Order: sequence, then structure tokens, then C-alpha cells
Amino acid sequence: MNESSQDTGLSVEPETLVAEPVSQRISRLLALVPWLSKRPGITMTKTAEHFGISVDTLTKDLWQLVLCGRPGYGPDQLVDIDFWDDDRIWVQDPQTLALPMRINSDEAIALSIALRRMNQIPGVAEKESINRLIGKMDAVTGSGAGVVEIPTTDQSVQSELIEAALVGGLSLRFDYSTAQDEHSSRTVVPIRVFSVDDYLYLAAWCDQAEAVRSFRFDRMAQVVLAEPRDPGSPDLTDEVTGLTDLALAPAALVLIEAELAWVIEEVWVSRATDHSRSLLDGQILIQVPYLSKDWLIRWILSMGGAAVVLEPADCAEDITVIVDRAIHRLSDSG
Amino acid sequence: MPQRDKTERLLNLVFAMMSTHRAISRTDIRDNVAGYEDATSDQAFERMFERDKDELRSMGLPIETVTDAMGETLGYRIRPSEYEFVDLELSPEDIIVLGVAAQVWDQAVLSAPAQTALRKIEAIYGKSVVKPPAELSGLVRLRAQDVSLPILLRAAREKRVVKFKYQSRTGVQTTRQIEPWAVICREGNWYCIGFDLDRREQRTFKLPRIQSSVTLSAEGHTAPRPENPTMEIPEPEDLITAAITIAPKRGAMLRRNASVIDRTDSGDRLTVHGSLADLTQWTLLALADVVEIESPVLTAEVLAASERILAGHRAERRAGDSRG
Repeated sequence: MNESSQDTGLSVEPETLVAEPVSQRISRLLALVPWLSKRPGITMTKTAEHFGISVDTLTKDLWQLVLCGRPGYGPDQLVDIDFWDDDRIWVQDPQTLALPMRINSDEAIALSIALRRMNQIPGVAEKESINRLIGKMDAVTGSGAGVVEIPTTDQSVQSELIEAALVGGLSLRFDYSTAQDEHSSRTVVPIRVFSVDDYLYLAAWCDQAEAVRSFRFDRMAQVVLAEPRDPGSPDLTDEVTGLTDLALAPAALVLIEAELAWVIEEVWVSRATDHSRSLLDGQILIQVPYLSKDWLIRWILSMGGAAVVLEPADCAEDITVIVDRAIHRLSDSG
Repeated sequence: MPQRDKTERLLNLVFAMMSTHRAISRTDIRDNVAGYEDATSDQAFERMFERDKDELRSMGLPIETVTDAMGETLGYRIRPSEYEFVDLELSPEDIIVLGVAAQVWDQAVLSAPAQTALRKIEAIYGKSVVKPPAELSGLVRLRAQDVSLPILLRAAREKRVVKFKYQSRTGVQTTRQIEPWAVICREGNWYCIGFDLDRREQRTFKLPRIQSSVTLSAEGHTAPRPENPTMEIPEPEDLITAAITIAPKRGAMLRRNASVIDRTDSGDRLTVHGSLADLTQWTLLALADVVEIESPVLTAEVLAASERILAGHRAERRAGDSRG
């Protein structure tokens, strides 16, 4: 992995002007009492620092706590905290909050799944810590996270070569096929590996594109290690954030038959709601974001007639031309 | 200041539920917990209490509903044994890594429990002021939006039966009773594998096709769970081999699946093996660049699909013209 010198600086949570959510405040109040109980006489300043809040917010929190307690609300039933003298805090009676709240199984499993996935990514230096944490989260859930699987199949060759290139500062050569069904040979200098869902991606400087590009592992073929190369500017790491933002892409209007209803499950496809068109039984009108018309045309073609593009109109025109020519060509062959 | 009142009421409710021995009833809560005296009617109280209870649960508080032998709700409680923290012995480095892990779900369905866990951990071990290493940020993203995911995970973990309405690929809706074994992510989609109690065999369910909320029943699993449950992959029944000639550098899907590539004058001749459905789709993807297909059955499929595409788009254009 690349060295990045800019990211070791301290960052302190700024105090926000917007009212904080009640849930966040309650969680902190519940944690505050046991934490203070274990540290009799600790200063306001240190406490505020630990919880990442201002002394002013802490003072309000403490005032809130001493107003609460068990039904009855007499002196023996209320939380009792001294914070009147100098800068120090003493918990006299924490009521039921002697110990902090544990993390529950649902919470531990959410972290455990994330950690397991992090552990599967080649070239991550923190594997030891990640492994230890998986063990700790599994201890909380009891049965462990064996109920979840995010398999990365048949990409072990790529993984090994890419990890070797990252560690050894080597470049890589491979054949790549894009989502647009285009095929090309690439020479790249690897920057990092990342993953979205069960897909693995290599972010790399690409000689052919003369830019940083992301390559999906399962679309690479004939991967070979090549000569050592300068990884280039270290801040390239920060440029790679993941996938292209489809939310900003234009959307095509596409009419699909009922048999294609499953495409609506794709996260990037949505039903076209504000369209006044009358539909035949089973037909569904959807919006399909597209980054290139070429991709859109191929996607429509691959649906074999169950999808018809309405907008943009020139795509529909292009499709009829392509198909018309193909029919003539292929009717002579075969 | 409604916010202060609410904070106070919620905290008092927590104390009341933690200090009760058996359970605190709704009547007790309304009469004795400070903050609920504001409720002007039974309905207002019910609404307020339901919201409060949900909100506390979403913060990770283990609120238990205590019922009698007939299943009637007696009241609510938080058991200290369920609430109180067990030391995880986390180092400052661990907190940084957990901070990254909590980001993995980003806007996805398990984001809330991951963030709650992190908040609890930070409250005990201190908030990390050091930014995570650049190589870890954005390392992994999981995007599942299916609200059924956390419930299915719990059912699999606690070996319980679930019930939901499910829509098949062809649009038929049925009610299913499943003993969930595992949840799997494949090609960006989430699936649940389990034992189907009505069909008496293993089945795989695609989470976005679950049409209702998932109900978790008290019943336990009856079928033995395989050690590593895997999705059954259907055998393609109609495997064929075809030679397809295509323009250089085009047809990536066909190329990726080609066993032989011959360079010829008219283009690259690819020998591809696979199911007829797959080969048809891969050929259609590259339709503009396909020069020749040497397989009568594949040619017929591709031509039939082409005619359908052409007919669909021409009909649409005529309709568009007549609408003006």
C-alpha cells in the first residue's frame, strides 16, 4: 500500500450548532454515569475531552442526569452527582447505571460482517488487529458470524499477483473487458485494492487511459507481473473513492415486459413514476441511469426484445439500425 | 424545550425498566414515570410510549416484553444481565479499525446497529482522535438495502423459523416458512439460504423479492443445517459450442469465455462453450460487431431476438408518431 503522509494529523470533532439527536444524547448520558463512577474526582475538562463534547455541553448533561431516576423521584431515587465545586465530578449514586451498556448481538454482527470483508481484501496491513476484533465480536454474538458469507470466487490468481505487485512495487499487465463489452490490454501501476459488495476492484494508474482507473478483478484475464515502476504521486490514494456516481448520470426511459420485472431489483434501476403513458398488462416503465449511450444500447440488446428504449429517441434509432444490419449479415451466415 | 422533556422522559423510562423486579406495566408507567403525565388521553399515552420504546430499542437497549402463560403482555423490563457491559479489552488501534468497520455499511441496512455499537464502544474506551490510515478508508463498502437482512441474520443465528411473502422471478407471490441457515452476497445481491418447511428441501431466496415484513416465530429449526450452506447452482441443460467471428477487440463477454481465438481476415474467430441462453445474450451484447455465427441453433436464437427487438422499437416509434 502507498504511504500517505497527509493523513496522520489529529482531527477534533467540531461542536455542531444544530441540535443533536435525542438518541445520541441519551446514549452518551447512559455511558457518562458509569464512566464517571469509575473515575471519582475526574475533571470536567478531561471528561468532556473523552466524550468529544464541550464543557458547556457536559454541564448541561450533568444537570439533566440529576433530574432523573426511579419512580418516586425522592432523594434516594434520583441520580446523585456532585459537580458544584471547582472542576471535579463525583458520582454519589448512579442508580441502576453502575455499568455501561454492552453492545448487543445485532450490533456486533454488523461490525463482524464488515470486519470479515475487510479481512478478505488483499494487501491490508491491519489483518492481525482485524482478526482479533472478529474474535471479540463473535464472543458477543455467541454463535459467530458464520451465518453470513460474502464469497469471492475464482479470483485467487488475480489476488495473489495483485498483492505481489502492490508489495513489490511492480506494474501489472492484463486483458480487461469493460461493462460496455469492450476488450483491451492494459498496463497499470497498482495503487490499492477496494471492494463493493462481493466485488473486488484494483485502483491503478493506467498507461492506456493516462489516468487512475478502477478495474474489477473478475473482468481481468491473463494477469502478469511486469517491471518495477514508480507508484507516482502518493496522493493518488485519496482520489479513489469507489464507483462512478450513477445518481448524477442521465436516465433512459425503458419499457419492459413482465418477464423482466426482476431488473427492478437492481439497485440502480427505478420505476418511472411521473409518466402519463398508458401501459399494457404486465408492462413496466423504468428509468435506467447510463454513463454512455453505447452501454445503454448493448444493455437493451442483451434483453433480447423484452426491453424497448423510449428515451433518448436517438438510442432507439441506433438500435433499429444495428439490429437491421445484423439481421442481414447473419441471415447469410450460419 | 420539548427536546429536554423527551430526554428526561426517556431516561426515566430506562431507570424504571431497569429497577423493576418482574416487569413494569403500561398503567404503572403512565401513573408513575415522570414525563408521561403530559399525555392527555389514553391514545396519546399509547403513541408516546410506543415511540419511546422503539426509539430506546433502536439505541440498542435490550427492552424485554414480559408475557404471562397466555401470551398476554404483563409489562416491560431491562435485565441488568442483558444490559451490563462485558469488557472487550480494546486498544486505541482497535477503536480505529472498528471505526472503519462501522463505515462499511455507509447508508446500507446495517448502518444503524454498526454506528450504535461504535458509539457505545467510544463512550467506554474513548473517542479516537486519530484518523484511520488512508488505505483503510473506503476499503470495503456493503450496500444492502433489504430491511429483511437483520431479521434473517437473527433467525439464522438463533435458529428460528421465519415467515414472509415471496415473489418468484415470474411474479407469482406465495407465503413461505423458512428455517434460515445463512445469508450470502453474490454479484451485489443478497440471498438467504434455508430449509423451506412447505417444500421440505433447501431453497434460496433473493432478498429484494421478499414482499412483506419477515415475522420471526418462536419455533426452532428442525432440519439439520449443512456445515457450509451454499447456493444450489442450476445445471444449464442446453450446453452448446459455437464459433463466432467478431471484430478485433470487441465482444468482451464472448472473449472471456472463449477457449480458442483464431485471427482471420474477417475478424477474430472465437470458439465459445456455454448454455444457449448465455451465448445468445453475449452475442446480442456485441451484435453490432458480430460478423458470422457458425451454429444454426445460436444463429436462430440471435435472429429471433433481433426480430423481437426490431419489432418492439418500430412499434414504439409508430405509436410515438401517432401520438404526435
